[in-house]
Amino acid sequence: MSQNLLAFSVLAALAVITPIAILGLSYVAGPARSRRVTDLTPYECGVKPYHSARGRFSVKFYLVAMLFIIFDVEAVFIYPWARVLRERAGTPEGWFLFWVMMIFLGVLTVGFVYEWGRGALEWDR
Amino acid sequence: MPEFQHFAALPTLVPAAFGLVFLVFAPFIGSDKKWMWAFTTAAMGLTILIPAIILSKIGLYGDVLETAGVAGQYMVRTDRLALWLDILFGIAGLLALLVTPAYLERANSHRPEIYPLFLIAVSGMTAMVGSDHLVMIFVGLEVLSITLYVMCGLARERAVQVEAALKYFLLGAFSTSFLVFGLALILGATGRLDIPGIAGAVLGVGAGTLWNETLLLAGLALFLIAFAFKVGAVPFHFWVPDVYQGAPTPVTAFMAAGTKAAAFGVLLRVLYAGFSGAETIVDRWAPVIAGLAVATMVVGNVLALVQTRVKRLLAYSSVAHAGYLLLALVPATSGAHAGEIVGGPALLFYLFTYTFMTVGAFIVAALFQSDREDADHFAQFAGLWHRRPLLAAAMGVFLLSLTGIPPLGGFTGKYVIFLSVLDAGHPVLAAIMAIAAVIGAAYYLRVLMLMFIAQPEEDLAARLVTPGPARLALAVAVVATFVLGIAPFVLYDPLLTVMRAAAF
Repeated sequence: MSQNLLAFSVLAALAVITPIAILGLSYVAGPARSRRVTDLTPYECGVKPYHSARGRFSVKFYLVAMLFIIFDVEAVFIYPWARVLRERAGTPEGWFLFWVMMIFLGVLTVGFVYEWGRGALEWDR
Repeated sequence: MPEFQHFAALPTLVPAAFGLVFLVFAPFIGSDKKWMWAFTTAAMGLTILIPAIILSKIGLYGDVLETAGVAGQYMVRTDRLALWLDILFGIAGLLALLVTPAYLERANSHRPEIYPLFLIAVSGMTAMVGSDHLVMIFVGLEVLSITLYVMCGLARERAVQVEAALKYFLLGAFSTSFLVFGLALILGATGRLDIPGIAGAVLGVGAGTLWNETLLLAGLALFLIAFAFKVGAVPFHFWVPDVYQGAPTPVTAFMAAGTKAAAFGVLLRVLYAGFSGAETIVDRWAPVIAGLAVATMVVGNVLALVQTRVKRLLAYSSVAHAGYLLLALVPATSGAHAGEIVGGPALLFYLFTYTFMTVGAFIVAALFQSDREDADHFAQFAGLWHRRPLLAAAMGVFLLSLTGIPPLGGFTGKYVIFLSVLDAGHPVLAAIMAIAAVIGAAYYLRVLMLMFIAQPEEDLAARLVTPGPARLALAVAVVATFVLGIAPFVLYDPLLTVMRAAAF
């Protein structure tokens, strides 16, 4: 127990000391900060930003991104499944694996049909 | 290879399958939603029927049905406890469904998705209580919670619903993170996530085979916090009034009865079967449960005194009732190693009576609905007796039952909890429960006085319509409240066997 505590204390001490040391050293040993106006602009060269980056844009982007992630995860999930299935093809266990994935895909299809029917896949609506 | 009894998963699979099938049709139906409602109601009836049938045959299968094993650990465990609760979820869903079309029509916020979501929420609840693996419990809880977030905020154009959904979502997600962290610590302490494995590790406390007791208790504490959030126990109750008031009233009814029953089912199973093996562990968490229960009973009842809207009043009353139910956990679980398991049936019996009376009261509140917002202010209820005597009588029955007046179910429920707490040797807790119930009587009686003695002021009561399905739901709830009060043995005697197979 005391060994664990020692290890923990060392870790905690390092966690406190390291950031302080990094910030402190850069403050002490770093180059003096420039006070010129151009240094404070986002880009020292190139086009000046002409409006705030926090503009409004359509919520559809989020929707598409979310839908993409759902089906992306599905696709990633299928690869290891296919690999395992090929090793066990023909056995009862293989059929079990097959039908489990079919059920999973069925549930996903329900979501797909639903969002299609709701018009989530149409950009101009 | 263990033998799987795949139909053990039917109480979960049937509502899930129907919910998914109906969800596919939801975007394609136009203004005519009647058949969607009818199909969902039928499916919900089936959802009640299936656990009832399994329950009547369960003796043939040796009290426990298990399926879906992973590495020697069963994920689905269907025993009497789970089946009774499955029936309860179905009843809560069915009663809420019966009033849903009327409410949504008056609120002018009809969305067909709400019907399949009821079924999916029920499948989540059944998954929660029908498992002895903490990961499966977590999955069920998430299915239930995410569905309820959506149901709360289904009418996006109404700010109060969006607020309710967002609050519920944020606090629910927060409590979920507590739960996951707790599970991680429990896994770290015991090396297992299935309840029998945890029970074995807890038994090993004395023998020194438990790896780390502190870790286990920290994990259990986080687990209890998460479920205290879900049942709305003080001091984790702050979301309850806002969410209950903001959500569509039928959803509130379903949430108040169903979520509470599911969370208490899990608490009962996990605490009783998992953590009550060793005295030293029980002595750590049993006082926590008792303290939560006392705080919840007192604070819930006192805060309800100052409410002026019926839904909010019922929300605080639901907090107070969570306190009574938590109190039932004390004898149900802490006495387990001494063989005193009478608190389990008391808890389940109270959950049933609570379902009928609170869903009934919310159904009456759901009928008070104008176009723009819930017309559940006390003034609207004034003189209801002179306008709608039957409706006022039904609401009177529910409120008196919530108070705990003798011939009604609420009294019997409180009485069996009171007795089991006394039996377990906690006279102080029992006394606090009695005092809290007396405080509670004040606010229920205020509404009753308004309904029966005051003269009607507004003309909303004159425009109330009670459609046939809502009448049916109210009639069922009233009859059940009376039956459970006058002849409690019809339910209580079967429930006595509920804990028989819940231990291992």
